Amino acid sequence: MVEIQIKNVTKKYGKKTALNNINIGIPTGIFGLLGSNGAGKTTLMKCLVGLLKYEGQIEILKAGIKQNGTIKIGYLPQRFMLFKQLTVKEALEYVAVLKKVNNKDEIDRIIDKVNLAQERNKKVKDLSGGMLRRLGIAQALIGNPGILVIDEPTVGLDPKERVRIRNLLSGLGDEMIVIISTHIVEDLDAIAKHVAILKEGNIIEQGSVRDLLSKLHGKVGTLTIKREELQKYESGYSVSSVSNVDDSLLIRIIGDKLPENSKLEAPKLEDVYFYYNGVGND
Amino acid sequence: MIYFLHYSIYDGVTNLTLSGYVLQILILGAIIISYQSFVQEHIQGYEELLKVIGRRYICNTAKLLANCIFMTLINALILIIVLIYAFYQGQPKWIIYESVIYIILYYYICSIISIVMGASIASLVKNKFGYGVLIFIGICIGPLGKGVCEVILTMLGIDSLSDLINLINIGQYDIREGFNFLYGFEIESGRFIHRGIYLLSILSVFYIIEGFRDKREKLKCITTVALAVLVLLPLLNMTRYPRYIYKPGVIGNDAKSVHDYMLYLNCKPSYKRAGFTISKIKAEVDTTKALEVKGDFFIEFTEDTKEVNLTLYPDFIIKEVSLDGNALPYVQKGDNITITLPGLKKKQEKICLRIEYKGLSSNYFFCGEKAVLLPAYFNWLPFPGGTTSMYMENSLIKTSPLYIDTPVSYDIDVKSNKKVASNLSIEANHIVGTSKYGISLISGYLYHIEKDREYFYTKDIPVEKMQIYTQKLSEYINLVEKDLGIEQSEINKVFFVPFKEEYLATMDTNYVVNSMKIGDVLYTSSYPDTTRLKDEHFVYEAIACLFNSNMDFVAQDLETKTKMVSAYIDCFITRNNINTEFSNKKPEDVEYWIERCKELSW
Amino acid sequence: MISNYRKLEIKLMGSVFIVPIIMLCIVVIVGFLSVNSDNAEYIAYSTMENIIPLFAGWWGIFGMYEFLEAEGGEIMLTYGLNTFSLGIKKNLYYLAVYIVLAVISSAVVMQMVMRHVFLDMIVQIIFQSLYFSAFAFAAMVLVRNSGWSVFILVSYFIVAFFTNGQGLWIFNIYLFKQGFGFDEYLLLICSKCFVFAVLFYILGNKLIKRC
Repeated sequence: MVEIQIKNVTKKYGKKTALNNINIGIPTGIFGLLGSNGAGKTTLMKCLVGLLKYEGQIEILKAGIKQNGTIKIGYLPQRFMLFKQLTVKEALEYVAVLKKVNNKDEIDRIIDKVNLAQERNKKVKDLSGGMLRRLGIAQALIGNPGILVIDEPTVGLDPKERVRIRNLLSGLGDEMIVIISTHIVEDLDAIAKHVAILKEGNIIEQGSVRDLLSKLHGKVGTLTIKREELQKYESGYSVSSVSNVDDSLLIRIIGDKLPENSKLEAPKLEDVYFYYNGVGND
Repeated sequence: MIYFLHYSIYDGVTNLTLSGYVLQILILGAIIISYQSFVQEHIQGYEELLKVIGRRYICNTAKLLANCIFMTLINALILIIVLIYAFYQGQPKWIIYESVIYIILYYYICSIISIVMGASIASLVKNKFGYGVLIFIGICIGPLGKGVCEVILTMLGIDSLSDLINLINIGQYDIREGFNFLYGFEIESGRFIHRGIYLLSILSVFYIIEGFRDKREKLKCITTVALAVLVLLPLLNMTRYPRYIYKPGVIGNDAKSVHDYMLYLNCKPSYKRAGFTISKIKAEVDTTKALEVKGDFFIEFTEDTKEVNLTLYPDFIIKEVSLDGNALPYVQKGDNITITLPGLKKKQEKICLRIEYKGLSSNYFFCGEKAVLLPAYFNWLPFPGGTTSMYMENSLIKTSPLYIDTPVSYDIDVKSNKKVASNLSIEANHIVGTSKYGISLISGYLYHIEKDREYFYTKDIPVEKMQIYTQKLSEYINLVEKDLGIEQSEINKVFFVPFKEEYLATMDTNYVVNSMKIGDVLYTSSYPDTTRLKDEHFVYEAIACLFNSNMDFVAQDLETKTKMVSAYIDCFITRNNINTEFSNKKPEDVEYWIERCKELSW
Repeated sequence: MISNYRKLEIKLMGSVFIVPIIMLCIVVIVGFLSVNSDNAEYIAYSTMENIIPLFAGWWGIFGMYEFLEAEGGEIMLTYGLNTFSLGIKKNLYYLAVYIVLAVISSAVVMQMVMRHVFLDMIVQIIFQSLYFSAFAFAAMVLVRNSGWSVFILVSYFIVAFFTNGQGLWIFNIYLFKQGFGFDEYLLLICSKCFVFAVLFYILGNKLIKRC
């Protein structure tokens, strides 16, 4: 069921069109926005949370997420470097005051939820990258928002921290609408149910992850080639991975018609991304 | 900043020196640019990345260079704007040339110093408190530091802090002056070298801080280095900053330093005849840097004596006093030099003393690379007798005219960067002539014209008005001379140069006068705005010309002088029916004081 | 006396918070040192006029650092607050606190130097502080950089000081007197301060939301 309807949203910066007639329906759960750098993901996110003016319409259809006429949205931008002089607890207290949240227990609850209990009294400037992202999520969660919008949640984090964040978001997806934008496909592969792929301000594909994967059945394969043949395959197909096997290369390719000697593979979300974006097209 | 630059120079590019605010903004801007560029790595969090990469000094040098290049472009833009205005205003070549040098050696070097200063602050203070620090330092080292901090500290009597501000300041000496149509912009090579050394010191401090950054004992190192630099700078300042550099105070009443005040604190003008006369002076005078004189002084004794007393400005350092090749003992105390002769010299006996000295001229009578202003009665050449060249009156330091009773023949070769003018005849910087009033040397950006008389003037003086002014003043001087029974002498030479102003000694008016007549030479720093100057101006100037140049008058106490001048002014303006806006409190018994005026030795 | 929220805000500013307090202390110290000077009145007056209003904008600038300058500050716009609360209201709060401290410092200085507190001087300080506070607000909203905002303020002061108010005559809010005592231009200056403050606040409020 669609909870957020984005209709004909266009955003221009002077002559440059950052978003061109975007139409997306976002259901409950985790929704992923995929796209390369400069595709328009951050712009769309900012339009969603009301930071940018845009043409078109964004309708919140889900009930119960408005308070006093304003929509309760939690937002974590791509770069979050606030409250450096405060401790984790103080930072969240400060946000709570700004959001007019009086419940002191909520702060402790959220700190536990994002697994920052041990860093409660640590200064924000002393937190690691992953902890900082978790704090960012925590500040977004204050006030019990109905929608959580997170821009590049795991960029720059180590694998362990990325898994932690993914798990956290996955848990949140059961309670609220979580919209995540990222260019790390792996993150969405693990947790997102629905995905939209952006390219140069346009939606080139959207739908449930299952549907998108099924569209790629029979179009993903692997084969072993000689090194000198790589360029030939790159020009004809989307090559999503290349690995060394003895003196040869094992490549994973995506295309409408695969070579006969290729071995069919089950498609992954990454393949969907490369299929629609094209490797080396950036 | 471009608007402020336009505001400051649209009236004339020479006002560049009055635009301390443009430079202060440039200094602050440069410090902030540099600070922000160096503190970014800390804010953005890639400081550790740079640490791992290593070769931090290359990164820092690159940043410094990038900021310097940016400042170069800004200064180039300033220079272009100044040039455009200069050409548009039809400024002469020397002003254009000086403006360019001024921007390069002053604005540009100050910008670069500020860049390095900002980087140094960023090395030490990485949090937002750094903004407070850099604003404070930016103000202290710039014109505002001179204009506000130093003035207030001096007024409060906190000399040590005031001296510190003076020391670390990279602005010009006087924020509201610094240009004069005789010597041009205040660009002394000494100050330029000082700024260069300053820059190298700050740069060293920066690299040392960066170098010791990660060491545990860094605080100790930084403190040691900072102290070393703080000690070094004053020493460098003392050795490299020549005190003879002329200051814009030449037309003010401020002493060059506390030195002059202390020296002349209890001095009264006096006139003591010497036991000899100087009949001839043959000398080589070098005015290119410090004033250096190597001369033969031909002395004729008027009484039996074992010593020779001379008056010479105290800051000259005597290198040699000899008679027939034999060194003579001497004592130099303040203005006075006492030379002990080898045996008694009889009346009418003649000797030739060789005296060589070099030194620092007073604030008032400057001498240096670009200009010379040594008026006749200032003892840059020794005068016979022990008297005082300056004295205190009403907390102000004043010069006293020095008498030579008998005429002196001068044969002076002057070495100067520019053409020299004198009250005597001069040909290819060689002065030959006789005068009982002393000899004056003036050079700089002087213009010369010969019409009804010889005029020497600076660029800002309009020629036509200059002539009218001189003629009118001359007429009033003649009137006063006739009134006082003085032999009237025509003015044959006029110098419109930045002369030290004086107060005409009347208690009520305190009228400031700018003219002096010595023999047939008139010196004035009045601007000849003949359309606005009324008759009373010429009356006061004429009276000042004569009274302030008279040693007998100057030697009187202030009350006597006031009564004499007030009485004379009252009499003169009544007799000649002159309107005056200034109140003049005439003394009782006006006739008595008029007679006293006439009794002075004219 | 100060709410927890304000305490957190002060903590957020960091050590830079203390700068205006230091400057007010300097004003008092200068006043104290000038008591026996011949130019005591001139020193005290010019120090007060030149320093006190200038630093009225300091907290206004650094108080908005998190919102306008720090990376990710735009999230505060998603907290449901209106821009007035985030901007002008905060600025006016800091101004009020500063004015209280400034009035105390001024009164102390005047009492030490002149043995009398000149109310028109207090009024002058208040209005000039209002001007600078609003100016700082507009500057910070425009440039979104605390360093350059401070630079703008100080540059304005520098030009006004060196040119006796002529350089930016329309924006001049200084009297440049030689001492205390009523000045006929005080009403004009106060009116100017008020009008410009309102304009700066309106301008700042309009531009604060741009992203």
